[in-house]
Amino acid sequence: MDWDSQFEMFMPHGMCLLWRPELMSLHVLSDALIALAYFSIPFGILRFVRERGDLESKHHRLALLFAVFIALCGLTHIASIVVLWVPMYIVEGWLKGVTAIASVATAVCLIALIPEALKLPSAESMRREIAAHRTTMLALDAAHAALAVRFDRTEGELRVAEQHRHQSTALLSTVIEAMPGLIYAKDRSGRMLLANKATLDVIGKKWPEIEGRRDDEFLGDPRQAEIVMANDRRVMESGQVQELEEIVDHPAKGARVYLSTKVPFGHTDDAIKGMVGVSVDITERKQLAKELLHVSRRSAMGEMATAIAHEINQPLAAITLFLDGSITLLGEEHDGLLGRSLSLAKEQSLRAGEIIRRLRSFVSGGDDVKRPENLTLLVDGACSLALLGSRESGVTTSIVHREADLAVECDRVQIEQVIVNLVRNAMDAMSDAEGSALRIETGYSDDGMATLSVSDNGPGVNAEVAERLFEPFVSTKGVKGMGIGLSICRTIIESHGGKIWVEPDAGSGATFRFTLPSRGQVAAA
Amino acid sequence: MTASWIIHIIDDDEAMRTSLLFALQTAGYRGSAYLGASDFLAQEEAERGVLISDVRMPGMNGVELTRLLRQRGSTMPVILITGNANGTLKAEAMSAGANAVLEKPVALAVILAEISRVTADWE
Repeated sequence: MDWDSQFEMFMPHGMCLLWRPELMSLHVLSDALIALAYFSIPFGILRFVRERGDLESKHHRLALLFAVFIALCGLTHIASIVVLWVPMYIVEGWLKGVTAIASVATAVCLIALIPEALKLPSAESMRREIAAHRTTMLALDAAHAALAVRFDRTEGELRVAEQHRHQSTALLSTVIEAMPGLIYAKDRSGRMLLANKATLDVIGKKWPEIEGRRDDEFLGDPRQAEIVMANDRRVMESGQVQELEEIVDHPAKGARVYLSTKVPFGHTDDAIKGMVGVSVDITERKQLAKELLHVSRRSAMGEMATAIAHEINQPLAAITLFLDGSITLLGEEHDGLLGRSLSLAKEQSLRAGEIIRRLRSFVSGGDDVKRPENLTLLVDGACSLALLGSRESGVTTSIVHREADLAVECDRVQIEQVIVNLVRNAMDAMSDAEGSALRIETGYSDDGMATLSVSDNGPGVNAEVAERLFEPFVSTKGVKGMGIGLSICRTIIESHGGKIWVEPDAGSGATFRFTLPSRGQVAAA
Repeated sequence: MTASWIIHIIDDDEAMRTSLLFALQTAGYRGSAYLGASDFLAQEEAERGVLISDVRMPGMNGVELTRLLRQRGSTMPVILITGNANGTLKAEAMSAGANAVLEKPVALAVILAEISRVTADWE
């Protein structure tokens, strides 16, 4: 095709219209208006595409394609106007060709889009749907408001309930803390759930240190912990309330006895979840009961001692005076064997009176006649009396003083009485044996007390008897003894702040031992 | 000198009476013994002497006897001798007018010393 010669080769389209002005005008005007309308549409589409950012990209492309197609249609109408005067039919033909391609492409795309377009709801149905949505939203808002009101009310009730709970918890914990006794709770495996202040004081630890722990993890003495835990287990296994005595060391006061009431909890679903315990320190009460027993024993002995004193002092006084009279009668011969024997007899009779007097004044809580004494000298003196006749009966005696001076504060007569008693008992115990050996030893014990021991190699004391030996009216001597000697010994030694006990020897024989506070300890006390 | 004093002994216990009488005689005193307070009081005109009496006796006891004697204006020295002395009894006896309180058993030397002491004012 010849692009340059087309203007000369063809005649303008106006010639076909015979240049008739009315027909020319109609064509030009119609084509111009169509072109104008066609050109305006792409601008509308471009604006639509630019402002609707939510378009899918394929729709976006389709819209642009549509705009191009419309614009090209517009151009063909412009070309129709131009060719009325300028015969550029080749240009116009190509323009139509391009427009045709764009038209076909647009049509194809649009037809493909029809099913999708069909799915689009109409504006009316959209409005109806929106209205329905709005109704639903209103109902939802109302429900929400109602819920908020109910929530507010429930929250108020909860707050009140919480306040009540808080109040009763505070009340309970105040009661638990204020109780002088121990209150605690443990779970099924013995772990601490709760402990009041009194409990923490006894354990000597703070709550975080024992929370969730078992007794064997926080009690100092493993044996005590084991016993306590065994008691807890028994309560939880049996499901029964139990009342029992337990011993636990107090950090300041030492071993204390507690009366514990232990209650299992968690009965509702038949599974025991743990236990609650209440323990009261009854150490003083027990001590008091023991002292009461001691006092009643002493007062019974006091009455007996008074009766004995009166009855025995009478003949003792007569003996003394008969002897004194006899000595006087001897005149110058009172230095002879007879005179000396009578004097010794008189001394012993006075001594017996003195013993009874001291014993009576002691058991009836009379005069306290404790004086500073040297225990070694006192032992020597008492032994010289107690050992009378021992050599004849074949007893080998040894007295060992590990210290020359054992300063004690005591009632001389009473302690002499104890020593004589122990030595006499030892000799009685060995009376049948060959090679009897008696050993008396004084010194200081490990804790600084003055101590004396009397050991024999007789038949010894069996453990069962040893426990009761210091009780009144317990005797191993059969008809020979009344069984009050050692009981009086214990009363005397304990009133001096000492202790007396028997150690059954491993081989044979027995060792009786007593301790007395030494002077230093008495001064310090 | 000692012989000029008679010792009146009151005790319900025979051994006690006999032994005290015996011992005092060996020391050169004369003595007379009574079973109880009423026995002694029956002797209207008791010789000048010293009274040694037990405290606990059937009938009137030693302290009551002493009080009675003092009420009657007697200045006779009184030594009470008891098998069951305690602080209360001693105080009671002294306030009743006893010159001494001794405890049984007691050595003769002690009794003699007390007799000398209580009679010293009369010598």
